[in-house]
Amino acid sequence: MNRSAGSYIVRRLLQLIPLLLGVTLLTFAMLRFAAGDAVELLYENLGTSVSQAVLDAKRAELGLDQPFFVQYGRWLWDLLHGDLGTSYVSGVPVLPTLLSKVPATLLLTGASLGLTILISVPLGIVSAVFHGRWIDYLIRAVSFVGNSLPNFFAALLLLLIFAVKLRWLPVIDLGGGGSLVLPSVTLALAMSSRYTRQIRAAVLEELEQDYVTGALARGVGRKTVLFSNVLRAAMGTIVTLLAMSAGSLLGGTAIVESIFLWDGVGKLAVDSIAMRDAPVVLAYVLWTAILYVLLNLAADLLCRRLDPRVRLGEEGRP
Amino acid sequence: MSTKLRVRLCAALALAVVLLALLSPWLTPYDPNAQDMAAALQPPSADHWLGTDSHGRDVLSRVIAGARTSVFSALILVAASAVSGSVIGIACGWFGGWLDTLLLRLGDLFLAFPGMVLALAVAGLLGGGMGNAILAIALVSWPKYARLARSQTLTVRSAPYLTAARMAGNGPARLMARHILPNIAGSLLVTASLDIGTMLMELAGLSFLNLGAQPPTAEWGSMMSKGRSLIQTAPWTILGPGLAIFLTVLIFNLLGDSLRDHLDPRRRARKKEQTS
Amino acid sequence: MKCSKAIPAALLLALTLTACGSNAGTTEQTAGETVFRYGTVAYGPEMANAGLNPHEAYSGWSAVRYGVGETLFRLSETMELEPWLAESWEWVDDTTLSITLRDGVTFSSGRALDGQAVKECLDHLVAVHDRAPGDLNIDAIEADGQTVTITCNAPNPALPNYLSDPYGAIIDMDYGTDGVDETRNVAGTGPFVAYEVADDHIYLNKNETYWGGTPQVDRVEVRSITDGDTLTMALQAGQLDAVQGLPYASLELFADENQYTISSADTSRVFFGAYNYETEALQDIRVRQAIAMAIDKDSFTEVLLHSNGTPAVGPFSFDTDGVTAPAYDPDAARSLLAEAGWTDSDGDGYVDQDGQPLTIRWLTYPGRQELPLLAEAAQATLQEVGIQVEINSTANHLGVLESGDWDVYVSAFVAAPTGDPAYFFTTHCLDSSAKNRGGYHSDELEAQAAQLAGTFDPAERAALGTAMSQTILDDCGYFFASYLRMNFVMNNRVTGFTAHPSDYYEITAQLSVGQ
Repeated sequence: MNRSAGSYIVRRLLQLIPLLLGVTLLTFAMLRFAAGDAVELLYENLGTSVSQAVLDAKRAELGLDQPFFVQYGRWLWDLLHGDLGTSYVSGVPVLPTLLSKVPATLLLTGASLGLTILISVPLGIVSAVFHGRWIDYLIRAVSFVGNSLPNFFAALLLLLIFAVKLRWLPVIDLGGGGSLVLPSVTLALAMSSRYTRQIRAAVLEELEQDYVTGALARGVGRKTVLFSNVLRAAMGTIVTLLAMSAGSLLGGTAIVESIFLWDGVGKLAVDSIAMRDAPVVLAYVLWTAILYVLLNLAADLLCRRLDPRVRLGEEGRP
Repeated sequence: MSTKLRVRLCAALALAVVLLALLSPWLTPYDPNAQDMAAALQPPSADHWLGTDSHGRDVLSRVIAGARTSVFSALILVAASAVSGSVIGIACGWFGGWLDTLLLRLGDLFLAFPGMVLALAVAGLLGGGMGNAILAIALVSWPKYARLARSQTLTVRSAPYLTAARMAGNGPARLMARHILPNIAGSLLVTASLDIGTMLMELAGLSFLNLGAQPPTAEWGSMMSKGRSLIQTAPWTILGPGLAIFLTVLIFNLLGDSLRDHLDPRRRARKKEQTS
Repeated sequence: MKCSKAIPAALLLALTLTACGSNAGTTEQTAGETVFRYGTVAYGPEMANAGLNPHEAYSGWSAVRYGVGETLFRLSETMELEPWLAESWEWVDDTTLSITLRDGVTFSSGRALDGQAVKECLDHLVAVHDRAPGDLNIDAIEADGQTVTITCNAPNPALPNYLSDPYGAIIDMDYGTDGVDETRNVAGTGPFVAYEVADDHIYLNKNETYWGGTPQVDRVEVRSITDGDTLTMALQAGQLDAVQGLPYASLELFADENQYTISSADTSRVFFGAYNYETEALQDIRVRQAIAMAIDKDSFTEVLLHSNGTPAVGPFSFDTDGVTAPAYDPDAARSLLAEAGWTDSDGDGYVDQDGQPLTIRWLTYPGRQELPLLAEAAQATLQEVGIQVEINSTANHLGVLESGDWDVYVSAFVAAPTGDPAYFFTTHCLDSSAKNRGGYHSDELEAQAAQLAGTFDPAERAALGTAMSQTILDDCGYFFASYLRMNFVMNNRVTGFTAHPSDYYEITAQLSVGQ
């Protein structure tokens, strides 16, 4: 088991290489063939004008006058030497810039996921256990609201109520603390709605499995079955969901970040895409792709351990 | 309420939404694009039930007109990614081997690819507009369905009743259509029904990047994002499209839930036992 | 079981991180200190003005705006040139400018401002900056005591104006490496000295030895807040003292004069449209005139900009009296179209000719909130006169511009960044202009431009500028919709914080925050 798990992990990690190559090549091509280049955008966005000579000089300086594969090859070569290049826009090395945004993103991801679990696991279970009763309908109704509120709207609404009207929390972080609350609640709101429904569905599904019926028939208590078997099985759903959410959260949440002045990777990504700042976009794409693979791997490994069918098979039937 | 009745009720409601979208050009009290600067940002009144927007257009008319763009776009988007994803997923799960590996890796590529980067690239290559927005989101959405369908297919494939059906001489196409699809349709539908709301949001998000509907087309998401600065001074401009999104999401989610209950073969079997 | 432990562990991690996070970046006010907290949408890497180094991209704007750097000349409220770090100036001949510097000015590094310091700074500027060498066209700089003599390669009458561009902020080149330290901070001569410089904020202390009197405020915190609604709510919640760049719709929230003050100025940024002369229909001046007459500038500024903009006439906001442009007149527009052979023969509401409807592809971009609004407003009023408008509002406007798939391109442009009229015409309207993408040509304008290049007297230059504006307006070569009005909104404790038409000067020694 251990050896096979080890080779499984190695195999999965090896798949990273073609994936990263594909993703970066695709990104490179897109930036190259999408209209507008970094140099022009830089000057044009400011509403001022420079001569063609200035533009050409800047392009040559950044190597944008080179053929496509030369540019990509050069980028790959530098990457292999641990160099992610410097931003076209700010002229600052990309890697430290990206890394400086990571802690804020990690913090927001951790807080909002934690909050999501705290809200959705109990609600999802209650909703499933009391399937078809009024509490089930109430929880589902609330989850629809959360699911149909665009996050920029939820963010503004929360800010308006808790920061402007009640003044319990700050709008922007002046160092007084509490600035993490509203952005995490904003993100958790929509996620909790999704999670509650998915957990409800997963628990319902498990409750209908034969082994549950069997256990109940054998006289095992309802609570025992719920907490020792059903929840463990439903955990697979939660883990998979968590991996997906963590991936997208760690990829940044541009709108929430820009509303709450949260200095994370999402805003960096949007700005760099808008400016066609290729080195930054590529670093960002690498970051999300690596995260994606690692998180999925972790989720798969966890799910393997949690699958009740495997467990039941191992333990043998009574 | 029996599940059948619930499905019918929800389906009727969903149909009503689709009909509203279909018939919207004939249902609007005003021309949704007619501007009247003298009557800009008026609160709800007898003349304008949901008030007017910054260009003096009737918000109710724009909400009704927006149903067509928003609902149809979301439906097309979900349908496109669910159908293509499921077909690929079932094929992967059933046939396995190199096909499975290849398609899975391709799916990984799109899943690992940040949707935002792709959306902007599509806009850069093909231009803005709703069609391209749908394409961009569909490109990153199908692998989710493919994975779901694949894993479900794998679980179902080894089930004893399927072995029995295979031994009874059923071909792969028939097996997939008659035995696998109905078994995995439930979870696909739950995902798809939830996705309609998510897709509405995604399309709204893309109007931030100006990849969505181009003016003067009314679209709920862009109406909300354009009205965001009016949240304190003219909240009715956001309330109309917001309520429309909420109701649509609600109806399609309820439909998905009831369908799930109804399609669930285990539950159907139990029902039969109980009634017989 | 692993998972039940994983969840509390994750929560614990989140809480620990929260605790760490709340300690960072504390900027608490100490007793008795006056602090000015300022939020702006106009600072950051996207604006290419992060940091304070005037010799890099547009960072000079930040240096001048936030009271760190000062230029040799500055612009008055009416966009006229006046000396600043210079005391007086004189043209020795067509290519030689002699500047006498103000006495008693020191850099925040302690060094005194003299001719040598200015020479070092400007020499480095033209050696490394992207725009300055072309603008200034400097051959040599000589320093002698408090006098600097600049020799140009060719007659350059706008040289003093160009020196008022923020890239001309004078910094001490002995500070850091080539005048800049690793945080992109500089040593200038202004009323404030930065002590922390980052991509999203600049914190400054007052300059105790400022030559223009002691600043009224002890500390200034400039924060980049790009989201207009966040900016609005931070001011409402009292977390900021003043903001720049509020959404137009938010301004009425601060209308209460007992609580807030609004300072506005029309900037020289103009929203205007250029025609694509490749499009056959637009080659007819009557069609262009009809379009100009079908744009309701007054409604646009009054309703959509909530009266925070001025309807434009020509390119220059400071020169609206001397020029005339077609007024909004849908009836006249319709008859002009009919005269040009465009009538609605199939009754679909749009005019046509030889079975082809008159459709205008209106290209613009969403980077400035006013542009999509203008596009939608114009779409409706042009429809009134029978012209169909297809809007393409895209961040890829440059690509579309190059492809030629457009008829009207509407953009925002700082028409006279240094108050001199030549800039707009040389960048947009001449055969040699880089931005003349629609192929506009006027013999008269070319002649006037040649004349302007050899005119030194500021009054004569202004008069020629007015005449040139009228030339392109008579040609209906462009249409000008409105000028951007910039607003500072502040709570009532703040005084001495005034919007300036140049958009260069924000934080000055006059700024004061009461208790």
